[in-house]
Amino acid sequence: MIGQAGVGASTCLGCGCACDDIDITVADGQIIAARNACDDGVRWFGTGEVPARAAIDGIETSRETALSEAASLLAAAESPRILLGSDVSCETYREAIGCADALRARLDIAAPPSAIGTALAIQERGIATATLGEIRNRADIVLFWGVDPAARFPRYTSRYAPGPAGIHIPEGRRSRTVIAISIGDEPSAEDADVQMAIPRALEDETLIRLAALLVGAPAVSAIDRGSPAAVLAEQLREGRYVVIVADTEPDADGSVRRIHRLLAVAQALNVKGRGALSLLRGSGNLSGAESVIVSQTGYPGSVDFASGSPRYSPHTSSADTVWDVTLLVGSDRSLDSSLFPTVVIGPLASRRATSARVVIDSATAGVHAGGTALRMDEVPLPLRPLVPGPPDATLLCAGLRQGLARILAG
Amino acid sequence: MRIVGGTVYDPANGIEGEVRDIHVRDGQIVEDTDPDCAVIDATGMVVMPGGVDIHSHVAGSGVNLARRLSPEEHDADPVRAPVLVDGGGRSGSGGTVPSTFTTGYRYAGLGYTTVFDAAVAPLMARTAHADFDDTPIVDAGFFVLMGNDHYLLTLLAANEREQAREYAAWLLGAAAGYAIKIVNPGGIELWKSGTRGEVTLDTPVGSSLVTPRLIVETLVDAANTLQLPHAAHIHCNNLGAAGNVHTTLSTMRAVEGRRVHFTHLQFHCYDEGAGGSWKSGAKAIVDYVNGHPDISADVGQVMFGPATTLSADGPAEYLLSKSGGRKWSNVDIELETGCGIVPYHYRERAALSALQWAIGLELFLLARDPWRMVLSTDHPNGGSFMAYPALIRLLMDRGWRDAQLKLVNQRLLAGSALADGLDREYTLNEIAIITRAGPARILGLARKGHLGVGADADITVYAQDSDVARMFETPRYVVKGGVLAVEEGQLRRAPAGRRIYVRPPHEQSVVHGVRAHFDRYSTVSFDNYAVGELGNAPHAVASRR
Repeated sequence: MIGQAGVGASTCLGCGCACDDIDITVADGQIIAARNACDDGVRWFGTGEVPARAAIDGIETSRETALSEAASLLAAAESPRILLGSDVSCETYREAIGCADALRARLDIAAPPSAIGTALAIQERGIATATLGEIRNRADIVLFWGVDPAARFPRYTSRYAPGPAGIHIPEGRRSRTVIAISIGDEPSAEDADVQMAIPRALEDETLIRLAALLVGAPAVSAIDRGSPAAVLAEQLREGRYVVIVADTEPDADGSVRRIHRLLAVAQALNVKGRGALSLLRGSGNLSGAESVIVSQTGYPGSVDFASGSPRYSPHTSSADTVWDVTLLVGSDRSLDSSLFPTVVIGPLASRRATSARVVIDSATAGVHAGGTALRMDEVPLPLRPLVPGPPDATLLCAGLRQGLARILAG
Repeated sequence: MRIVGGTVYDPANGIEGEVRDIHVRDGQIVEDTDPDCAVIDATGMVVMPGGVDIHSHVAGSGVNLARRLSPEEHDADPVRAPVLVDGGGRSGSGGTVPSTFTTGYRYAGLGYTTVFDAAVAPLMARTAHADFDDTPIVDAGFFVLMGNDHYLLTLLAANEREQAREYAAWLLGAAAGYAIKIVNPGGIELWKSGTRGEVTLDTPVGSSLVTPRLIVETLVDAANTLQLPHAAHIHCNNLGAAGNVHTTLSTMRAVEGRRVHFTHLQFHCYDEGAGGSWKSGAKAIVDYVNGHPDISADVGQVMFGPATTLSADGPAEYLLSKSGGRKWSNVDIELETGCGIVPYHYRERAALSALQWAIGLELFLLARDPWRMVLSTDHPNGGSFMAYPALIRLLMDRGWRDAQLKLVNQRLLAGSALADGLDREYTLNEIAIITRAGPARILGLARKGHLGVGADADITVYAQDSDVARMFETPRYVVKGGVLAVEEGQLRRAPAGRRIYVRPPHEQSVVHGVRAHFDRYSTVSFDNYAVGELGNAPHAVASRR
């Protein structure tokens, strides 16, 4: 076909797996194929045909005018807030955080509330983890805890574990033992050698006991010896390299407590053997958002610049403060109706944020613009522009920063 | 710009405390300037080249993981944006692992203008470069972790040492790093494979043909054959273990007669006394370094107070976490290396902390050649870079040092040279060597660490003070690349730093094998691995011998 071109090794931000082996075919300025991508990935890439509008109160205007209005609104706000959303690059986040700093704004990630809970849990005790390739190459026991990756991370099992062969896993799936734990009515991985159901009411107790047994605590009774924790401990001790896979963004309540306990179990696995916790998270480069906030402020989100320097307030919820102007940079996949952004700079903003006062469509990073994104394990990957589209959100945010600087300088 | 009337310490050019004028034009030091150029009156002040930190941890995913682990430190040390003449200053947070912008500002605020991160996994190189983009003022680069790289070990198992060298060249260029770094050679791979215990130079790593000795020899030779500006930068096996002085000496002997750099030696100088107790092994190490001019080293001084231990040496960090039950993070990084983190506190009354502090000072004070035993705290492992002024005072002021010695736990200090009395006091010229001229020379940076014509105009001006810690804490002026960054003690300008990296030539034949290895084992596409063009050209690498 005339005008057809291929772009190999493209990175998909459809979920946190950030598969970077996608072969894209472009014809006549549109994406017509995304080989290797899962169904979610194909949907995420789309055709690349997106709106490139800027509007104030629903009336189309120039980008310059919209940016100027956005800067005016933000600069005049008493309690401005900036939310970092999905589908934009780390470079965009760097500019957006600069805006938050200049405005003395509140800075959050547009992620489920459990995300900051996970960050707090890690801050309390640390985390024993591994990049996904290490799991692929070493994990001889894979324990899925209350999660079926296929639901939200379709290629996790085929790219990382338990499917593929690795250096120490010569026969792939057959070289691994897969244990699937279902908690209450949460789904669990179907392809497992061992299936175990644990009532939700016993989950916390089981994890506490499992961690204790792994660090060498003795079983205290016959009942204890037959408990799910004891059975699991015995199985996990057989592994050379045990990986626990859990979801940081589950639908069920109590996820943060689960993460606390799993962190302890993963650390305990290292007392006599080796083990890691693989946290499923961060679709659309939200891992990148968290990482850049950490690097520039020291905190993984929930940052308040109001005092002139970043202050951590992870326990302040949206309900505690009235944010009179909220800027969303990127897409909001959390579908949190309380966000009510006033200004949106991001992919498909004009289509999705119909109630915002100012909307400026930006490129989708990895489709229309380049940059860097982080996989769920924080491995950085390049993004490539595949087809023409709206302006890069990085440039838009840089323009906003300049506008803010002019206004704030008086 | 002209800096006039200052007392200049420029040891690389043999200038020791002479009153001279320094002329700056277009970011460089020149012979002369226009009569109507800006003038800084440095009369009565001390003028030195900008500081060069040879070994620090300020960029990359491991640093960021450490940074997020201690919010309480950030809470205690909020940092407002500096008021810069052209606006744009950024706020941040401090503690032992400050945020990126704050790191740049604070280094410049101490008169440091060049910084190297000592340990970046090539897989994570993009993150390190992005962090440097947000670390203003300082020119920066990083060393690339190779001592446990799976493809390198595969080549060594196949007795392909020349290919291993070419791979090292390719890897440096792919990551846009500056030097080859070896951390616990082979030991991280053993830890990831579940092997525990002491690693000797001859412990097999996977294959019986591959040993830490072979890894070290291969990479030291690679750095020298490739004519890299900096030698292989070695963190020996068994860091932090009692008796590791023998491992360190064995490693030095294994590469005797070759250009090589041993880092944070303090952490590798522990001897064993009766009953397995700890004691100083510094003298044996210093004697060896003194007698072997091809060796350079940095100290890795411990300073009392909070620290964050942060290292690719995952097994060492794990052992540290077990000794204190503190927060512990570990990340195994596919095919390349690991990373461990434990927040820590060195206390005067703790016997081991006191021994570590004393050993570091012994290394400084017993070293005959300051050009080859330079200053570091292995920031933030032995303490923050913000402690450099206090360390300089310990080196220059024996009375102060002896007073501090009396305050620390003496239990493990029996037989240490410091406890027996060391009367050496560093001169300002020697301080200029261990903080500027020496690191620049060891790093092969011809335009850094001196004030001769053609050097980068990185200049620090200190007001003389009888308290040298105070003097070095607050430079009166700092010029970076010809820009007056610190003016009258205030940070006023924050130009972007340049990246210091190499892209050495390599034989194309190695790429085919690397690609095949990627296709088989990596979760990152080969075409997405190498870092692209950076904002400035790479540092030139000389033609191979």
